[in-house]
Amino acid sequence: MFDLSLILSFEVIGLCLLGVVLGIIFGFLPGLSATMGVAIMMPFTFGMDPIPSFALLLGVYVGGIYGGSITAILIRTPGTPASAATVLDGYPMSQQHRGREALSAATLGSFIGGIFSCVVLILLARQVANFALKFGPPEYFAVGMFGLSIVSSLAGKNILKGIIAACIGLMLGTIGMDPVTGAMRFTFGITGMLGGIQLVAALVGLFAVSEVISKLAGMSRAANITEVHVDNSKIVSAKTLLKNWVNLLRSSIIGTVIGIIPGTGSGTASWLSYNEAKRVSKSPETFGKGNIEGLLASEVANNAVTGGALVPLLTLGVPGDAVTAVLLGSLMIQGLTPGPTLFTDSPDVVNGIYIMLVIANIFMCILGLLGVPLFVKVLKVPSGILMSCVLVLCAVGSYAIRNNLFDVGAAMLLGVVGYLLIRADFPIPPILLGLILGSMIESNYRRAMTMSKGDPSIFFTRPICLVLLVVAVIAFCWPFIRSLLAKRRAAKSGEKT
Amino acid sequence: MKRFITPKVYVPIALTILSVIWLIFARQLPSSSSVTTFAGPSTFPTLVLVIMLVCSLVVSIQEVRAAAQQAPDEDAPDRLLPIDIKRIAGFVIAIFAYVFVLDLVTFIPATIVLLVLLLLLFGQRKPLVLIAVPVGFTLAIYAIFEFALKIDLP
Repeated sequence: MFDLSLILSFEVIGLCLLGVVLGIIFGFLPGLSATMGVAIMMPFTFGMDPIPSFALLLGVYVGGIYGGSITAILIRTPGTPASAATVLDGYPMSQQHRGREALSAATLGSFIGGIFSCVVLILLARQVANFALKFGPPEYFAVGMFGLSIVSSLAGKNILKGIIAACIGLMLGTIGMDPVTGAMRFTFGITGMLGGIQLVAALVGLFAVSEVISKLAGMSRAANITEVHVDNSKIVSAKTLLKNWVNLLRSSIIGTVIGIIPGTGSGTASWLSYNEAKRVSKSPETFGKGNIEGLLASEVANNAVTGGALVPLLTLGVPGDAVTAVLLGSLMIQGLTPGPTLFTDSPDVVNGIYIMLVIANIFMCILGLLGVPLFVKVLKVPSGILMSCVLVLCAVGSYAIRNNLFDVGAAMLLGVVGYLLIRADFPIPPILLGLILGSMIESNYRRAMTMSKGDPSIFFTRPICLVLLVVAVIAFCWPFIRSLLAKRRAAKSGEKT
Repeated sequence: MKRFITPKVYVPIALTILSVIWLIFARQLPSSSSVTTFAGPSTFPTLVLVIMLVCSLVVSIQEVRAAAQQAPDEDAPDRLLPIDIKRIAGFVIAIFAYVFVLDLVTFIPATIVLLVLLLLLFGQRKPLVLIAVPVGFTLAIYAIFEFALKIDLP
């Protein structure tokens, strides 16, 4: 019988709360991340028992994934890659004086996704772990292609511009060391390029720096640059959440499943979930303009990854994402061996992890909702001051990744490039998609071809891979099919009248 | 002629040229036959760049045709005014100068100067704001990163 006194102590609950607060700060600040937060806090846990240690680290994990949504919504600067998709509808909502609604929706959505994945973890961990074992290089390639297929949905009016943007992202991802042979690609002898273009630098550059330039360029036409933003919106209502119950459930499932698949992460989950929400929405044209469905889809999915990623970690000793890779180290430092024996040898620790994850999600929800009135005050800061400070935050955040000025330069350059692309009506999200998924697609394609000795039929003879590739093709073509069907319906109704 | 000098026209053309240049570099990478794997380091970049080149070419042609059909319009709603272009140019110079001098001058003075310049570009003229915001924000960021997070800044 599990001893609850192991959990219900001031020390453990206090550490969990502290972890969530720190995690939100790490997620909030661009350039930092949940992974970095967990890595920085890990040394502080060396002298602790397992349960207090995980109380702190899981708090940082949950808070970190959620924290990125705050800056994504308020200042178009995703604090972490997990919140990049949140920008698309979260920022327009804040610009439409609906910041409170957006922030509270992100908080409650994150809570719902987090709790759903906790339930899956607790009830089905060992059963679903076998599913993760079936994934090899061909399946990972197919997951990557499925992720890339959403370019057609994100491209807007001109699909070719979306494809070009995705290609730019894929090419940025090839800069640096080739993952299979170790050859240097497109580094031109520049030391800073050996490690490639960092995702976080690209994120802050393409979203935040380009937005700063846009605000500067729009000053002549702005009604009043000192106009103070007033947010009269209310906390998202229970009715709105209930109305979106299908979206919440679907996004929770997507996030949890993506979390269970090792080597993916919150960034992939949030984009996939956003695309699915847009695909099935009755008003897909409103996505990207402040549709709460898009924001909920992204935030529910990215936090649903947290519980899902712990499934392969605890059951197989295989991390589900970058953060759980760090948590694996923490398990070993505590003298615990993840895998089937963990459940039999240390059931108290496993049960403690389950309960702490639930408590961390509860704390995240409470702190997030309490913080909404405070966070929204950021919007009252005059635009010029806010944008100037955002730029400095972007520079510092980019530097913090590797303590390398090259990343700062890369972020600024990508910001200028991003601004020019936006002016030319190119969409930005496909660039990030390409950067996130490019390495996964290329390296797993090459590994799969090595496995099959050059025979491409390997992608069509493995069931999971084949299904994913077929779904990817359908997902890519879906916006065109939908548009064609809509035109036919309009033509038919025109004929009838 | 002015209707052709818009981002919608020159950006796709620039991307077409970039694709060609990048492709030349990609073809210089080791090919599949020179490595033991079935797809070499040049395979994926070459494939992506060919797609990018074709799409950029098509988009360039589309945009040039669209621009040719448009009547010259000096008052296009999204056309930048000379003052806006000067602001952007000032911004770009400021941020790249900041990156170059950051290591030489260290974080605090470089960031304070950058913030003053940015506030001026954004039209801020109140002396109190021009002093308080750069100094206060810079010191706050420095304290958070250096002392709380133990991340060394330049």
